[in-house]
Amino acid sequence: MSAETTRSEGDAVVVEDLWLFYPMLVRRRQNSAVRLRCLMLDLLGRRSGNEENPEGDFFPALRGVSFSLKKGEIVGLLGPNGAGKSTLLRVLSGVERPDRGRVRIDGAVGSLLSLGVGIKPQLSGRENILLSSRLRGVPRDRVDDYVKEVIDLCDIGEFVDAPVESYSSGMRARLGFAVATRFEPDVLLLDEVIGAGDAAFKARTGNLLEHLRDSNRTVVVATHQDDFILSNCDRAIFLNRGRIEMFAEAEEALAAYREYSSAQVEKHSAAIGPVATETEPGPSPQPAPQPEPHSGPTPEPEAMQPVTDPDWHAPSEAWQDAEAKRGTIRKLTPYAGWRDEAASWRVGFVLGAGDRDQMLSAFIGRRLDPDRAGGVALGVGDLRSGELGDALDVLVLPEVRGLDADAAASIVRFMTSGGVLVLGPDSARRPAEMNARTEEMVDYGLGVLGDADPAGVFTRAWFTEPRIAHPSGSFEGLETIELGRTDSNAITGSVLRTRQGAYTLATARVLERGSRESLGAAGVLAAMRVGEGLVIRSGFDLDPRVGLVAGLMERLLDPEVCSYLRIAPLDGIGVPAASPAVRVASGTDPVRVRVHVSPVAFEGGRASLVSDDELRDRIIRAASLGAREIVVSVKEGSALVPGIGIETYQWIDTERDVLRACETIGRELGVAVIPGIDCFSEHHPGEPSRPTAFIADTPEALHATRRQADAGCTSVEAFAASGERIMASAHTYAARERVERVVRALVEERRVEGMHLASFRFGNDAGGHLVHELSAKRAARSLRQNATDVEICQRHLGGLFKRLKEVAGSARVGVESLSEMGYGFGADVVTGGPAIRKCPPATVLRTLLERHLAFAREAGVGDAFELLVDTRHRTIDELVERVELARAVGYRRVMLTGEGVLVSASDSDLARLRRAFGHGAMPPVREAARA
Amino acid sequence: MSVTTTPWRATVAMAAGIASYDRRAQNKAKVLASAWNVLDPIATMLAYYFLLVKVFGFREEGFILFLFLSITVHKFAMQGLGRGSSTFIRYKSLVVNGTLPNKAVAVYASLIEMLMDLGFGLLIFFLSALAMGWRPTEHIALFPVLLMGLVTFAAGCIYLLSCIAVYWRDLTNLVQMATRVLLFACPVLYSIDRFKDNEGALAVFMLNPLACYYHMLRGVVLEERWPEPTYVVTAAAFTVGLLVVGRFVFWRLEGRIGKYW
Repeated sequence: MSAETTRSEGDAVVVEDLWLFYPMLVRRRQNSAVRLRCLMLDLLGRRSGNEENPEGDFFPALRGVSFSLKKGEIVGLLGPNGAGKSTLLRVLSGVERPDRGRVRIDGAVGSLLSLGVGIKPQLSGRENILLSSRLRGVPRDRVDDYVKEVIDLCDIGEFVDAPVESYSSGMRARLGFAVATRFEPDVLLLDEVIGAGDAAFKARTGNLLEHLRDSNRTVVVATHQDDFILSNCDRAIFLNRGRIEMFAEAEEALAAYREYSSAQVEKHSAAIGPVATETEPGPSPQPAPQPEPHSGPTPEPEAMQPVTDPDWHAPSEAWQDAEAKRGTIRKLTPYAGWRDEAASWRVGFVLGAGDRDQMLSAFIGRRLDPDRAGGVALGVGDLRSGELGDALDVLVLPEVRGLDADAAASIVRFMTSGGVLVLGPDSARRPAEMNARTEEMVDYGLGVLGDADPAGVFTRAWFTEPRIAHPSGSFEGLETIELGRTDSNAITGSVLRTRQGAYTLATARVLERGSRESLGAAGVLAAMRVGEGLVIRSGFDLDPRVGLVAGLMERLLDPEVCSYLRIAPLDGIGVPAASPAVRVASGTDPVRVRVHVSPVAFEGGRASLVSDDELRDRIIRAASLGAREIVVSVKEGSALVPGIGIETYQWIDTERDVLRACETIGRELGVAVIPGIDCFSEHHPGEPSRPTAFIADTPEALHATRRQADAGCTSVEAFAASGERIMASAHTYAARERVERVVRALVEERRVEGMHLASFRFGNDAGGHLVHELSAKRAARSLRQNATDVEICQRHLGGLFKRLKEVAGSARVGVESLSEMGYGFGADVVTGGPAIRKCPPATVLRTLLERHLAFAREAGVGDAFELLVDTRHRTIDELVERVELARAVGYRRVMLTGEGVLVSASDSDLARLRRAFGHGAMPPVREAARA
Repeated sequence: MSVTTTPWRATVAMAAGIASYDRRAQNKAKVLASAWNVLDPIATMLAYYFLLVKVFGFREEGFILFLFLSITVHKFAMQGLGRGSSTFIRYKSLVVNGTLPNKAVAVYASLIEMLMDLGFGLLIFFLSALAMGWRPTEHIALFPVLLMGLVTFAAGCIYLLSCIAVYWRDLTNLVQMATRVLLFACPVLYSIDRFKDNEGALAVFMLNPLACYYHMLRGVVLEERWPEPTYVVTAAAFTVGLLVVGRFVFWRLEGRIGKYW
């Protein structure tokens, strides 16, 4: 019944008939009862499970496991999740006592059963090493040597004196591994820690294990890393459902496990059933072009059929010509060379270790073998090290789960060096901070082409355009079509059909024999890599905000089957000069190309501001791309950039700490520039780009900025009167002063013709509730200091608004949408996001409008001061109210931005809106949309 | 299952190391850090002093010292209950990873942390008492013995509750309730002598080993009184019984608790 420790000759570990039962703690009501029952059984020494009938309230996590391990061998532990690997290791380490069977271990056991356990996160790495020295009984006179040796072993540099809670998972793995192996225990147990490290760590791990083997030590490693098993393990145990399926040479056991995994994937796919049975294929008015011949096996007869709407049709040639003439679409230039070009792409597939990733890994491994596709398989840990940009052209990330700040920073570096990133469908389980990181990546031009992501940022990124955001209002329907097929996979895409008959690619997915499991863009790319290509029967709208997708799709589209590519007006694209999106966008008129230039450089996983010269070069380079606007941006999200964000995180313990930390950061980095001034320019078709709205927190701020503009820049009035020009916007807090200095010099050299200063934005996704509170408090403080524009950018606002009212204690707190504020509509406190869609009462609106106009008049720019009302997320009634209020207050001009509700508005609603405008014309954007 | 045999002294050193670094981790973000070890008992005593003496007007002779000593030892005893139910939650990461040679080290670490607090508390008490004119008598010789008994009692509590709390999470809440009730059910703010004419009440107090300990400790420190045999026997019986039962329960359950985390 119990395991005991004895010494025996030859074998280091002997396990005999090991059984371990776990209670079924799944039903909440039974949970307490089962626990109490188990308590009584264990107190009385009664067994809780039955080996002969291992069901009921107790299930066997280990079922009669027996094996023996020799001294000096490394043994891998393989098996799917839930197989019992971790349980077995816990029993071997003595953490758990088996219900039946014996464990005999010859010598001392060292274990690293999970990242982070055994380590106190509040303490630094050095302190944790010191703690481990106490736990290991290191003599006092040897402690210094011990610490030095462990530090050398873990190789985390200066971070050894940083709190462990700020470490990445890879660094934790290094530290934990170094502590666990330093003592060279007779038996070392490792559970899933190898995968967290980078390539260097893996290599070092391999060497250490080799050393342990040479020292006649025994190592047991549970891992999903096949290559690690093959290269390091002598034998391997394939464990499944608590039983040993095979204990053999590493290659043999791994082959058995792979075969089992493949069978499971097929079984899973078959169980789901084909999608094609859901919708009968209908006749297509336009025959779908056939996929190009491929070298792979012929598709099986039962492969999925296209799911096609009978009414689905391509836009007419006349419509295409007309649109091309207007510049709203770009007729696709045949580009037959993409297949050859794609063949030379270096593609990296990032494979994770979770359940879903495991299936994806198996799927890719079998169906879309990276080797066959000319790609390389990467672990998440590989993202953190090295320069991906040097090694890869395309990075395929099926899921973003598991990425940490280091990996995100690495990806951003990859993006900024011109790499193409393709994300697959994402999981809504992603934590909030991950959202913030991916949001940051999106800012760098991240391409997202995956399933809808209702809770995440990808939806915002991809569906930002109102044409796409409201399929029910702006589109006639959401359809699923087959885009093409590989040898065994059907590639389908969801398309939104517009009133004009154009189609917008909403999602793309690769289905394996009808499986609903989707690889999204990853699958599309992978399919292309295996030489199948895509078949698209018509033209597609592309939102170039997802710039890389545009670039990617340009390569993907086959001119024989896709007649045009529609480029929506650009609102922001990634910075990389080599990005295909820049090429596409810069050659497409009329579009406004706004290039974001980062003033941050990444070195060694940390971010720092670049030198003035480098910043200057970056701006000029961006201008040379044909950008009409240049934004030098360090957004709030960059609080997550390593080097800035990590330090912030270290301080976030309590709300007070947050406040203190931010004040400290503010002092050191110049954060929180309040009051500030914000200028916005808006391009209207047929009109030159020029600033149309100014927002100032105080008249003084507006005066000051105007004086600044008069002194060094083109004057505000000149802005208003000038033609199209390049403007630089310093939308940053950390680098604000330096950015201003550099841009001002460029302005003086006439390289850049103007500069906008943006106000500080409150809010941050990074810190969750604490930052909400922080935002509310600081916003309230600003209100008390007579700031009138406090902008809070925050999703999932929850009770922030209520809190804000409590703290501010002022009726001046209004609630508006972020987008409306972003376009210059003033509110004392503006919050955004789907959580709150309330509108401020008319009285508040009127007060705000009057106040802002008064500021503008005092500053002498009253005539240039216009109100821009965002039509997105607005009803016609709300638009009418705003327009009427603005006219009553005395605004010279009111503009509507976006298409929003206008696209689907009825004629009577439009007439009502026109009446609100009075003699003023409807905004050009409206005319463009209706055309 | 213990895979290595660890000498007793090494085990204690290990527990002390854990306790020390745990305390260091707790103090990491605090400006005053370790100073709280001293400030906390002072603040507690001042609070009770203000409440009972200034607000409620308890002005009996020696009441302040009586109160300070009672609160110090009572706090230790209640820590035994609280730490007992949270020991494996506090040291989960060490236990789960198999870092500890045996799970009893976690119990020792908890006990050492409690002793550190008790030490600071008693230091403050004795310094305060000396400043207020108190002088030790020969009775003080029994103080360490009684204190040892109380520590053993607390160790029994931790042994008993630590494993059960992993199985039955409600125990933590019950302990919190019990702690609040015991503040008034034990003679912390008052003396048993108030009930010397009430045999029924005294009998009830005899069922409470903490009451016996408090009464005896105050007797040898403040009242120059040797412990009555009845109280000694009662406290010793409860202490030994609790230690034996607690150790047995711990021995039975320590290898099983991994299933219930």
